[in-house]
Amino acid sequence: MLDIPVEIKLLNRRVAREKSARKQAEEILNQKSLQLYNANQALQRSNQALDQRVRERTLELEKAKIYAEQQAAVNKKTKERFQLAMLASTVGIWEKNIAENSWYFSARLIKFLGYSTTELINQFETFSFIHPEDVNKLKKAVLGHIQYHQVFDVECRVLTKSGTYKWFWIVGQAEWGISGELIRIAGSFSDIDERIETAKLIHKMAHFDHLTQVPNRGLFNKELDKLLVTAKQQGSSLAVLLIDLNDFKSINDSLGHSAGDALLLHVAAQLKKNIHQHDLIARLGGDEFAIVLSHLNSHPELSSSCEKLIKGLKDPLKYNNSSLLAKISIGVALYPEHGLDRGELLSNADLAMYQAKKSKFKGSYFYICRTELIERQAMRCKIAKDIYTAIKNRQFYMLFQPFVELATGRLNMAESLVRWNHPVMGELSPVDFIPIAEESGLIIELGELIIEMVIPMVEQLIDAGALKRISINISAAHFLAPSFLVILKENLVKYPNAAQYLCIEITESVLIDNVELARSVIKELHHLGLIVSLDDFGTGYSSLSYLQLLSVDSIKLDRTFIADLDLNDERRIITKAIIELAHSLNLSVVAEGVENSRQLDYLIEYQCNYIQGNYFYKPMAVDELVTVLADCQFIASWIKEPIILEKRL
Amino acid sequence: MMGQIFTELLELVEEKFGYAVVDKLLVECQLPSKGVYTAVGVYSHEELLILVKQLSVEVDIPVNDLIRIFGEAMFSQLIKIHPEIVINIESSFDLLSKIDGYIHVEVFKLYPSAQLPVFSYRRISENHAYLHYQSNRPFANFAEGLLLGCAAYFNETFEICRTPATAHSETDVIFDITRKPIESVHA
Repeated sequence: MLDIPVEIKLLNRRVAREKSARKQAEEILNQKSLQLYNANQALQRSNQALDQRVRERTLELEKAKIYAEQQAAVNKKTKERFQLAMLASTVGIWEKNIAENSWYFSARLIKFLGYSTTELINQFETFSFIHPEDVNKLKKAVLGHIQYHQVFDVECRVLTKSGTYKWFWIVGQAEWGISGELIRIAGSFSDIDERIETAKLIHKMAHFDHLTQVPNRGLFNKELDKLLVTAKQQGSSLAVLLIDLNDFKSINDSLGHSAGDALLLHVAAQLKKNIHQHDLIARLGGDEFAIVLSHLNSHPELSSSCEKLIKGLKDPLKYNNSSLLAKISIGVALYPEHGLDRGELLSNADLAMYQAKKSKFKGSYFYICRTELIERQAMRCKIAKDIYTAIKNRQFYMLFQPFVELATGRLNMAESLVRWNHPVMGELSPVDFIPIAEESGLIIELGELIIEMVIPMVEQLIDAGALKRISINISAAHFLAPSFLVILKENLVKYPNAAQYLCIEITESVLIDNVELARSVIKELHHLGLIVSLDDFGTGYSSLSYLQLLSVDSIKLDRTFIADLDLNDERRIITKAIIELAHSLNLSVVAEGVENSRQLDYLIEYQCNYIQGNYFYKPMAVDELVTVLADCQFIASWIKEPIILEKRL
Repeated sequence: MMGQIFTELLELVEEKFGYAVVDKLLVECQLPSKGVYTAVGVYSHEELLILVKQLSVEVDIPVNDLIRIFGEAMFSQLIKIHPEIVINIESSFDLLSKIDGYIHVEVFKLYPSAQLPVFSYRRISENHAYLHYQSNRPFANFAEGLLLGCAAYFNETFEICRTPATAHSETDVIFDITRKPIESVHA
């Protein structure tokens, strides 16, 4: 074998190395190609995934875009709606951006107030356009809202550019940052001028009398209560004056309501003029006024105040062609002497006013309440309460006072008289309880009790013989009440003979209120067989036309005429004339209250039909009357021997 | 270790000493790879050290010098292969400042399995900087050669010394670099 040269061997090794390197490189390249392919595949998959993701994201973006566009459209509409609402709104908007130190005022607000934006900024920052009386209220509301998150809601008077104040309802709402710092505050002005004015009007209408423009009863009550609280705290006194116009009804009736209204206006004005600024005046209703005088130091001062009020009305009011003179009755109750609360004071002032009214014929008058008056009223209330019990417990009983028939000398008539044996106070006179029973309305029940008591006695008296009539007094209210005839008839059913022996005595007051009803009741009584007598004739109206109109059967001359018969010529003339007139109308005449022979003589001379009085007999129990009737029915000649009778008494 | 280092080394040896020396190295060293290298392959750095040691014996030049010379030559080769490295780079320090933050980032993209040393750059002044080399492999001299090649590429000269604390390490070295002004180079 030939030796291969070293260079060739070297080259061979080199070639072998290069060849191996090339193969190695090719292998590596193949691997790299495969890796690249795989990487490419992965990349493509990644690209696809990415494309998918892009598509998805694009879709999402599309959706988001559409949503955003929709939202933008909604926002635009909302903005337009808001702008439209702002234009149409009656509310003016303001905003202060604290961070930017800027103000915003809506066109409406600028229109409301009339200021330029620059002027408004100044007004808002200095509160100078807020009414001085409302500034503190507004500042308090603003600070309360900013510091304590209280509601910022206040009604204020705001000065407009035109120089007038208008009422606005101002509200606000602040916005705070995370750390509690104020970011902005915004709010509105609502024009409430009309509402406030209306509210004022409503308040005035609700609290003031529309005619006289003085407070009405409602406001008076509230104000009086306040004054009483103050008086109690300060230990001061008050005077409550109730003022009533005398005979106001007759002015209304004769001259019309316009005249009445004019007079009320005049009275209100004059009263107001003659009291102090701090005093209270009110019209309680109708012709009734009230005044509360405070800061009083003495009774003379009070009297002088009342006199001043009366004096203020001394000049008549010229109305059309008439002169209207207001005469007033003032009743005064004092705090604390006559009452501690409104009810008590008004009630006692009312009592005092009725006392003043008693003097109304003297013109205007005032009366200051007295403790005795209050006590008397309390007593009247107690009696009224006791009357109720007395009716239930039948504490009442009847006495009878006979009449003498002058023509025959017979005792054939008697008047039944109710008496009350009070369990504590003993015997009470009708004068003490009849007016109270009338006031309280118990007179009807009492009258019914009297009917129930008297009718059975009539039977007893009929049996005693010679009885012509027993009279029963029926009050006006009872006579006109529907129950009167019903109860009467019920009792007459039990005692059918009694009707022709009964006489009902009524007073003229029955007739004044309701003539037609009175006539129908009298007619019914006649139908039942009863007769009717007009009591106390000669006092009051004593209208002769009534005598004809009402078909009464007799009249009873009032005892005041009889008392003066032997003393007064004029009385005698009148008495004689009345008797003659009654006779000419075919009415019999009873003279009550005959106390002596001189009175009797005159009555005999005037041919009075019946005599009633203590000269002959005092009221007596029914048993005694039975005896008297039995004893005296024959005495036709007693007229010539009156002494005998006197001895019998 | 990148195959390109090996191929460049062998080409440099061939260029300087002829292929006979290359052949002898490969025969004598009995390397696991048998001296078959491609630029795209990856080989153990141990082989490089064996080759350099043997070369030192063959040519009678110290190992560290050989490695430094190789590093210096390697820099210009790297720029030829990857000219993008120096795009927009004005100076050597500019390049050094971008090794870790930019160049090695790009290298990882191309060679995901590459085990790269860490170069921490700290500029002290206009012409003075520290470069901290940290690697699992003892190639501080190779790095120093690269630094010299870098300076030459930008027509600069470096005075390089190692901080006393790192003077005897080949894996963790702080190079104290003083750059001579470019003007002086031109002068």
